[in-house]
Formats: sequence, C-alpha cells, structure tokens
Amino acid sequence: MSRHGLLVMGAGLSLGILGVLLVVLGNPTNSGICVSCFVENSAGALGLHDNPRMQYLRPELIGFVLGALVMALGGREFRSRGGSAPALRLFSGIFMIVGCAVFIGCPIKLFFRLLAGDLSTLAGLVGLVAGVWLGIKGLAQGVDLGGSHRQTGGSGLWVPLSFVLLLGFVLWPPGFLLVSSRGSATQAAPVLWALGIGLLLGALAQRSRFCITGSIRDSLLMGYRAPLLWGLVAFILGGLVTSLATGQFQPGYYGQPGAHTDILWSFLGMLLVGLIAVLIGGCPFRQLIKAGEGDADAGLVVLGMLLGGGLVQSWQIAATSAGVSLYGKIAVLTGLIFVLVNMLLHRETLSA
Amino acid sequence: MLPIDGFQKLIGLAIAVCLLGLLGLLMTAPAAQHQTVTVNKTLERQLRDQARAAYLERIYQPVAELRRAGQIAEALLMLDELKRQYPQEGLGELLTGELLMERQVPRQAIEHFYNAVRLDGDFVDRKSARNRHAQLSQLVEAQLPQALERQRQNPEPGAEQQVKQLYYLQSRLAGGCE
Repeated sequence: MSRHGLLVMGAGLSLGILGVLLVVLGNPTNSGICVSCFVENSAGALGLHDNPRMQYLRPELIGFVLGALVMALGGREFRSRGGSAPALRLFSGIFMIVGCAVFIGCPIKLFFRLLAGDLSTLAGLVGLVAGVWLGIKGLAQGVDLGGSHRQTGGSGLWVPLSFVLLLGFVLWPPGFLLVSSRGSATQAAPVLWALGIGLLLGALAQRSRFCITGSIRDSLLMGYRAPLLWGLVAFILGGLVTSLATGQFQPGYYGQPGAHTDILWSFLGMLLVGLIAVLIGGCPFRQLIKAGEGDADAGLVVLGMLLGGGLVQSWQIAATSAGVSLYGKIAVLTGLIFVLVNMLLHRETLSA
Repeated sequence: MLPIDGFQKLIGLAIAVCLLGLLGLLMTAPAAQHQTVTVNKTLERQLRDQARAAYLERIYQPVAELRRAGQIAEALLMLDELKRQYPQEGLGELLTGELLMERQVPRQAIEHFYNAVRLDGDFVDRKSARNRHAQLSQLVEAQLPQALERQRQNPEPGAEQQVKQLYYLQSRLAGGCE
C-alpha cells in the first residue's frame, strides 16, 4: 500500500477511535464527533439561536479548522482559492445542516450511531449513499459549479482567522458568549482534550484528504482500489472496536439516544447531505478542513453551516427523538428542490 | 523587492495605528471594566432560571399541599386548571403523571410523562435539580414490555401511540443530542 493509502487509513482509524473516546471523556452519547451538532451548539453560543440547551462553543470544531491550517502551512499547501459559485455554496452550507438536523447527525455521526448499534441509522446510510450516487450521476452529466481559482489578496485567510478569534473565545470566554447550563450542550469533553483531539484530527484530515462522503464517492467510482475506501474501513473498525471496548455498543432499533424512527425523513435528510456534498466537494467535516487550508469557497460553506445551525434551532427544523417536525420536512424538500434546480442550472451540455 | 509607494505607506500607518489601538484596549481592558456595563449572559440566564423555578414552585404550591393531604382527585383537578393556564409548562404534566402513578394507573401516566419531557428536557437531564431520571427509567422498564404485549394482542392506534411514547422516553433517557 502507498504512503498516501497508509496516511488515509491512519486518519480514518484515528477518527474512529478518538470519536468514541470523546464520548467517554464527556461528549453526548453516540455523538463524540458530529460536525452538525457542534455547529448548532457553536451557533447557539454565538447568539445565532436561543435554544438554551444547545449553546456551547465546541473546541473540536475550532481544532479541525486550525489543525488543518497549521498542517497546510507546514506542508506549504495553504493556498487562497475561491470564486466558484459563492452564493450557491453559502446556501448549500445551510441546507447541508438542514439535512443533518433532520436526520440528527452529520455523516460522521451517522457511522458513530451505527457503530454504537443504532439500527435506525440504516435509512440514513442508504440515503447518504443514494445522494452520493445521484451527485456522481450529475457530475457525469455535466453538472459543474465552475472551478475555483487561485486568488491573490489572501481571501482564504479570513475564515481560518475567524476561527483563531473563536479559539480566543474558548480560552478567555467573553461575557456575551452563551453557555448552556442544562441539556446536551453541557455534555462535553474537557476543553483541552477536545481542542487537542480536534487539532490532531484536523491536521490528519488535511494531509490525508479523508472525508466520509468522499470515501463513498470514490468507492462507487473506483471500487476497492480507492484509498479513501480503506480509510473508511479503518474508521469503521476503529470506531466499532472502541465502541465495544468502552461498553457503548447497545444494538437496537427503538429508543436509541438522539434518534428517531421516521425512516423516510432520515433517508431524505441524508440524501440531501450526500447530494450536496458531492456537488460542492465534501461533507461538512471536509468543508471545515478545506476552509482551514485556504479554500474561500469552503469557507463560505462553513459560514452557511453556522447560519444553518442557527436557523434549524430557531425555526424548529431540527428533529428530536419524537420525530421530524413539519418545518423540518418542508426544509428538507426545499433543500432538495434547491439542489436539483441548481443541478439543472449548472449543467454544461455538450454542443453538437 | 518592490518599492513602497506613498499609498502603501499611508495604509500601513493606518493599520499600525489600529493595531496599537486594539493592543491598548486589550491591555487596559481589566482596568476599563468598571466604566462599562459588563454583560454576562450566562449569569443573566441562571438568574432567570432561578426566578422561573421559584415562580413555578409558588403556583404549584396548592397542588403540593393537596397531594400531601392525600387529596389526589382535587390535586388533579387543580392541575387541569393550571395546565390550561400554562399550556407550555412541563411541570404540570409531570405532576399529573406522578399523581396518576400514586393512583396506580401507570398506563394513564405515560402520556403525561411524555408531554412533560417534550416540554421540558430537564426532567431527563441528570445534571438538573428537577430530573426524574430514575423514576422515568423505572416506568419505561416496567411498562414497555406490557405495552408491546398489548399492541401485539390488540393493534389499535391507542396501544401503538403508547408504545411510541415509551420509546420516546427511552430515547431521551439514553441521552445523546437533542
């Protein structure tokens, strides 16, 4: 196996093991790493929504971006680039969080829930694969958001710098920062552990380009030859073994933590996430990493995700264990219409 | 190296002034605190929560007194009235569930506990002073097998609804994101 293949497997393995360990350290059950949950918590901490049970500036999120930044700078891979359908990417970020919130979790959490025995995630997994497949079909049919370009002026610096500011908020919390005193946002690993793990995973993900939806995409395109597939396998094995070793594996369909059994909406929520992820080049986690390495387009997706994190809580779009709200269903269908219309509008047809 | 023109010098000077100002502000921030109204939203919220808890205790005080006196029927009637007045408040639903449990009618209590947790997640939050985690866990453990059996024998909407409510409680008790 090539050096890159080993790096991808190392990144996947680390993500699987450390993600489960974060639960042992205090993060919510089955939610050691969940980019969408972290985004919702962080949006709340910054005052973008008023759910008093979901407000905490998650250090892991900051670690992902800054770990990628440091690794990209160290490896001379930091490049300011952007200019590819910026407004569309901003809205894509919002709708990715909508899909995640209706499913209750990002693609990484989907696997963590599954590895903890939550069988209600299977519909979401099928939806995610279907979304990625549909996205690949779209790309094959000429859907193209336009290439990003190397940009002078350091436009790719601003999102990573804003995460440096957020790091300052974590270390020296200002009075305006909101912190939940009850609810799932109070379940958190110690700050320095969370930050350290975030930095490590951010750095590994930057160097390896590991991404859940990217792994599925490459597997569908290249089969077992895709290095990212082996990263995904390592992630699953690492997560499963750690989950079993720490007693977190509780197989079942009903009554699972932070889960609902509206399978149609789990399917559609993850379909939306998978489809968007392929079109914009990565799942929510990958967007954070790319933003850290100077991709201003991914930076806009990240800002959209933060905005989405506020909206899904304020507008009662986020699902709960009781199921998916009417607003959640409307938001997912709106998101699907948004992405499908854009697939038509951004299709380059070959002229005869 | 490119020569620096006048415009660049001007912008560079302006940046330096802003940076010095920012540095000065940050360095003198502790001393300047007394000049500004310090906003601590977390403290504000904690005070609000405490005031809310004290207010709820006061409005549900008559119910607690009736309960202590063993007048369960009267307490339930009073709770009905209070729930009409405060429909978004979970404590009334929780107390109704507890009173129905005291009356040995757990099947009727399930819906009220379900409503209570949906309205107020504190009841399943181990860190909350108002948590009823142990009580609700016992309820789910005892009632879920019976509810499943009832649903199997008589698959009517009521039985199915009760199973769903118990699964909801089970899921919330298991933790995870909300």
